[in-house]
Amino acid sequence: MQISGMDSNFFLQSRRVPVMKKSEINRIIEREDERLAPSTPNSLRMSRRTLLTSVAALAAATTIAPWAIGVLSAFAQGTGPEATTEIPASDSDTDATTLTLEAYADTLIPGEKRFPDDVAIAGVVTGPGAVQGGAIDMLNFAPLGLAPALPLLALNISVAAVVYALLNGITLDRTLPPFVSLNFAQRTGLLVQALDPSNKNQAAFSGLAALCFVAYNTAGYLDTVVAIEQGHPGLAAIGFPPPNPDGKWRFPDFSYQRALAKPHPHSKNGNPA
Amino acid sequence: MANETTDVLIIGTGFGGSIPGYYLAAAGAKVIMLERGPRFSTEDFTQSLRIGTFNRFIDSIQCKGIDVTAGNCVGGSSVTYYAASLRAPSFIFERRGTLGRRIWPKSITRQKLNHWYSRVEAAIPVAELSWNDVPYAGGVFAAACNRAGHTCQPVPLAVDLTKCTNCNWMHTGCIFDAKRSMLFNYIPAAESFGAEIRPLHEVQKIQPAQTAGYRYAISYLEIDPSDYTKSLGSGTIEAKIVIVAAGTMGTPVILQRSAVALGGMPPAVGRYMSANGDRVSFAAFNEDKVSSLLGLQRAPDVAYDAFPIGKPINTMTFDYLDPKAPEFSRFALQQLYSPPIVNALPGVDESPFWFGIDKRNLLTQWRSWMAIVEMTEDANEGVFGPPPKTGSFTRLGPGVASGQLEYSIAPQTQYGFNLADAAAESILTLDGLATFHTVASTKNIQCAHPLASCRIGDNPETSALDDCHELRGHPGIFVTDGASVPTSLCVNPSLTIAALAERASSLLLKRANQYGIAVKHGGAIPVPS
Repeated sequence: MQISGMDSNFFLQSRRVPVMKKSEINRIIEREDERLAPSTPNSLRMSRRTLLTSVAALAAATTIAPWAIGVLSAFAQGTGPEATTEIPASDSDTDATTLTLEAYADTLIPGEKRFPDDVAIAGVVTGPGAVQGGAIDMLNFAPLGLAPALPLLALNISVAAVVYALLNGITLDRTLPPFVSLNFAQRTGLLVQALDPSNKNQAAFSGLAALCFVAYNTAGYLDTVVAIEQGHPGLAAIGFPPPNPDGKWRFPDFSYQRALAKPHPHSKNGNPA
Repeated sequence: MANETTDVLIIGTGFGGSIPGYYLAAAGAKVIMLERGPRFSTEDFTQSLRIGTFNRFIDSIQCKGIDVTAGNCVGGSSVTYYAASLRAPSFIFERRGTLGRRIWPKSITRQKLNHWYSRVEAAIPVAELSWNDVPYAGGVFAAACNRAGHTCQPVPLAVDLTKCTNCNWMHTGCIFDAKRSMLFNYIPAAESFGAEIRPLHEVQKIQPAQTAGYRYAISYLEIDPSDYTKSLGSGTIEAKIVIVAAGTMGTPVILQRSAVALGGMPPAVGRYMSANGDRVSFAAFNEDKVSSLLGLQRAPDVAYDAFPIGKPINTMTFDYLDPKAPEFSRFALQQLYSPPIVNALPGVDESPFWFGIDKRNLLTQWRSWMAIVEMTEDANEGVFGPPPKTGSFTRLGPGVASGQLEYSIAPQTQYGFNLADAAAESILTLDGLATFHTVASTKNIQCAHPLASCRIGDNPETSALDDCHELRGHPGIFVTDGASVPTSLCVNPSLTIAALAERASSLLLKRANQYGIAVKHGGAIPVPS
């Protein structure tokens, strides 16, 4: 996985999304603001100002070399970047980052809501999904060195969600981070575009996706024997077998123990002619 | 301070480095082997999928159009491979490729290579599986082939069957000493004759030597064992002979970086890379059909449900290896275990194709899955770009790197993929036995068998090495690893890499005297430890 070619206009340059000028986007935003005039005191509300700030931040982050290099370095080296590259985060920022990443993970491998008001998980299935499978633990797993970059990656998703909403006439719930306020079908539609190889910014999205799959399918932030002991939901869901009592895997019963096909007539000692 | 000197400097300790390392040391040469990765032994291996364990010695190298898996430790990919040890079909050595002329040197045919295959099979040693040794997954594949009217047979493996526990953790090393990597045969044999192995020494460049009597100076960085992106020092060793065996993904990069200092490189260095025609697909079996159609039952009311049980490779069919069939239409189908770290790969029928609700449902059937590797004839379309500043690629994180290779699938390769997909699907889905799933999460080829990035041949334009594995225009530099294998093989390549290294070692011993190294000939086959 790699974070490269971070282009703030990735969504505009995608072959699947018509290119829009900034002035056009601003006009749409203004219309949207007027239409959604009743505001909410919630700190997570997405106003035009917040949107523009976000877009500006993303543009800055991806076009100003030192910042981008700092994030790339953090991801690349397996160690955290210098403190100067971290974004000071408020609790609401942290919540928004986590909620956004959880919603992203849930779109990849859906699960059931953890509690009635769970907004990150769409709740389209019963049983665990990538969120219960430890996606956030995986993304924060220290050896990856990815934690400092998570706010940017979440912001990347948020910006894509806002533009997706604008282009598809979707009204966002201003009390939630943009991607979280999309329904499951809309989240899926966005990810189909974002994860398409034609998207210049695909690498950042697919890197996140890969780690969500690794979390659910392998509990990659835990030793497997520990994950099994803890009843890791993903390993349980795929049916990963438990080890022997000594913590090692062995399968004394492994074979049907009978010939099940004829060998190729020209083969010899198991080799082709 | 004078540089350190040696008779023979070997870059890499996989199949291609260990084998000549043994024969040259046994013949009396002073041999130093530099390995960029760490040295692990049995107690260092784990049965764990935690990031930071297995990826200390396995790299996933993400490139344009292709993702390559390669070993990074003493023993190279032999430590991480699935131990399938097969001789390549005879027609492979007669391939003509897209250029329409023979690719392999005329001096090498299957018949001539059989002698060297036999030596490797004895040294490793390779075991023939009986049906009693074939795990459930291999049995299901064989029964499916049989029911579809095809032959299928157990695959010879570099495994000590008396020690194997069928745990299916071969990809993280082997904690039971059952997998016969180079750590159990050629490497200890080489060390018993004085060969010195230096792990965490990453060779960067080869230059002309300054010391009289020595041809080349090899510069290296000492790698920090806790962070492979950092170096702890550097050094240079001068040698009379250099054997480059840094692997298909490493060898051409070192040579490219050395081009200016050495006065140029043959045009085929870093070109004509083959992915061995690798194509991975998946099947999800209907357990009831496994029982009713194949008549298999492993326990009361359990037909298969055993993907994670066994050895990773067990059975394959040779039915599509017809020597009279046109080139690019021939392939082998082999049953395979894939650890769940790659569970993102298989696709589903409906959008979004590899994630979402349908994919989640497919994951719940994981124990009824099977992976299939189709090994086809590709068109050697891989090309390496300019080398990075250091190393073979740019490390992005634990076990993940970005490489310079670009692989754009040629129509001939795609044709073979399509035929192999159709064949596998027809066998596995017959009468609803299983559903068939191609890779959908990425467009990149998934390659575990990179080859041919610095290949042998008779044509100087299309082969960087002569038929003695010597680099054209650079006497005393030899390449003996997977990079030297000229084409895809339609089988797993480790035994052919090793057999070519055995053959090259014999030729090297003859050349060594010419290059000022006093050696005696005729090293015996090493006795496995």
